[in-house]
Amino acid sequence: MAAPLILVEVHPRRVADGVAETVRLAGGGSRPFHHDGQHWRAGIEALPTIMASIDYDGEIVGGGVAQAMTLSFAPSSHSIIDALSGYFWADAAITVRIGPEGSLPPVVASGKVLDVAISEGKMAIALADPAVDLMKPLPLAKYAGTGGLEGPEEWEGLVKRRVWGRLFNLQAQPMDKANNVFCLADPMHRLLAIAAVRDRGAAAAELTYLDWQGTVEATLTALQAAVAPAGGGVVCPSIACLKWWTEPAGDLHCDVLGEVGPDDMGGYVETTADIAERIVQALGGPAFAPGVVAASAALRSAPMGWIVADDTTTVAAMLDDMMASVSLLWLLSATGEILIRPWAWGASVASAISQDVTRQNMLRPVTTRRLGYQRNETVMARGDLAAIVLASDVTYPDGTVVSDVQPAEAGATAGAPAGTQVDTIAAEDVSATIAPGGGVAADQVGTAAIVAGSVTGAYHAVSSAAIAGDGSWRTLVSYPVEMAEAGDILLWADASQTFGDGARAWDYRIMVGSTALNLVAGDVVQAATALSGRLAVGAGSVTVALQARAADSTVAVAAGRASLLALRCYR
Amino acid sequence: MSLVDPVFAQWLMADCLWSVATDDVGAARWGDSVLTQERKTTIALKADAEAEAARQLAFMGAGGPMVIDVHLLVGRWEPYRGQVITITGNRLDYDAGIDVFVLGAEDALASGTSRVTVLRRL
Repeated sequence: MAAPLILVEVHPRRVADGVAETVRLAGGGSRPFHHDGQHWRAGIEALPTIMASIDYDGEIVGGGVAQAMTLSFAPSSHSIIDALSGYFWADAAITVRIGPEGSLPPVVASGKVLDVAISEGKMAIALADPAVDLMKPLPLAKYAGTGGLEGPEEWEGLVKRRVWGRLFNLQAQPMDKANNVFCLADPMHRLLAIAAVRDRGAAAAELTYLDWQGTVEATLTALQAAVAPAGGGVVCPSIACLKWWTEPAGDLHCDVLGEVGPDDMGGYVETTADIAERIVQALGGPAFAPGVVAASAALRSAPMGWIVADDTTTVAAMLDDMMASVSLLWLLSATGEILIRPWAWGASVASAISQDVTRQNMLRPVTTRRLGYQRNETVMARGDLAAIVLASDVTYPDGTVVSDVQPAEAGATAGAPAGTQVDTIAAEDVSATIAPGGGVAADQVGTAAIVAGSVTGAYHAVSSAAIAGDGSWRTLVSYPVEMAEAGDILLWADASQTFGDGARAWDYRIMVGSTALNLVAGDVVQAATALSGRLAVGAGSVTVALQARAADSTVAVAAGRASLLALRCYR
Repeated sequence: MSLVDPVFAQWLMADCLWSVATDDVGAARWGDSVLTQERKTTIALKADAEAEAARQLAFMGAGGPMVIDVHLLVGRWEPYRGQVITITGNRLDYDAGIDVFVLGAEDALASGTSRVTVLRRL
């Protein structure tokens, strides 16, 4: 029986002009080598050994696709070697086919030439790892530092970050300090959303949204001109930017939903396989095997996030990291397509008889697996955070932790002699303000006086006549609050489920004097339990009220109940 | 009054949040010989991290030891990397046929044999 046939097609470049030519080599089988309408030079000395492995030392890794192969070509005449030595072989595309004679053998390896050595009439052709095309960084655009979308002068040469999926606490970079415009990623790649913005860790009081204005430049111009709400900002995910209402106290950080690809690529993606595909596409290939991305996305559907913020990390390393996060691994097929497989004890796909076996090493049992999630893209120092002191961090000289004796802690005044003054209150009276087990006791308020009986968790009856269903605001509950001095009043309201019919649209609001707080529009009655509000008021009497309206005048309103609770007044 | 919730502040000052999967039975059986492995992942949500931690713990032997064996097999096995195959042999207790996870292979095409590195649960 004839030996298997090996056919090697290489495309080295001529040294003289750099133009690639096709060189066909062959071995095994029977001569002459005429296959696929071409003549192949005999001389491949022996079939090669293909080595490939995945690293595992007790830890799941994402790739580890190292693969190696060397071909030895020993033609009958040294003149053939002499002729081949005139080519530049490095990075030449190469395809190796091995199989029985007859039809064209299947491809067993493809890739690029790593190096060529010539000795004693033989030429050794070493193939590069097939993954070499992935072992280079993702090409990122860089800021020109010319202003506008190209960033300030000091940004010249900085890479434009790319982000996919869900990212948390990503630092916004000051793109236009004069207009308080900040940038999160490459403005040329639209984000799905900027979900949260924080100044030194404190959430924005309010965020408004600026839509796409037709071009990147026009959108930035509109953002620069936009008026941001006090304490908040204007988010503009279509150019990955935001505008803050003033010069921020510290660094701004955001939670984002990353890039939205073209519709024909599926728009926004957030699974590991989908994001891996986007990154490889941005690199320019190689392709994933048909169906493998969809299958892997279904197998590991957890949302994840990925940021490319440097031009040194290779795409192969990125794939390793993200795949290992969800127990997947990637490798290349013989034809150079990317395959994804799970680290799993699935069903056996083949059987074999062992001719010999050796034991390489024994791994200790792993009984605890800790996985980090919700990765913090910017780890902050305590000094970076706004006005925060953790009570658990502060102790008295005797070692007592401050949080253990906080004012609303049960037993905070235990042992104090009768008559001991705590501010203006006797210690024995302080205990009455503390609920069993800690916290502020019911019906207790801070420093402001509230008329007796008005602070209550009980529902106030609302008659059926209270709401006429004509669209006008009607007061459900109302009472005066006496403020001993100027301060903030905190209110919370709810309505029982028996109020209204629960099926039609209602609006609710809290009123403090003539100021409306926390309007809940177009909700069913149960949603009124979400009402709360805080407002600064002056000393004296102010009326607080819970109001409702129903737009449908044909609605017959049943009797119900509602309550309004003044929880706390702050000086 | 703090502007940043203290619990949230702890996360702002940390690399990530953590989920843990533990095999108590295995831990009791193997005592001090056991390992705790951890990885900071790209997963966004707690529930997904918990499910993944359990999945990875199950792969890593589910509380039992594992070994890496190297077999001499006939044929080409490099394409099976990352898949489970069944190996039968008369040494090292492979008599009944054992499912193993293929880590690597050196396919010697000239001889038609392969040295196959596998992961096996004991």
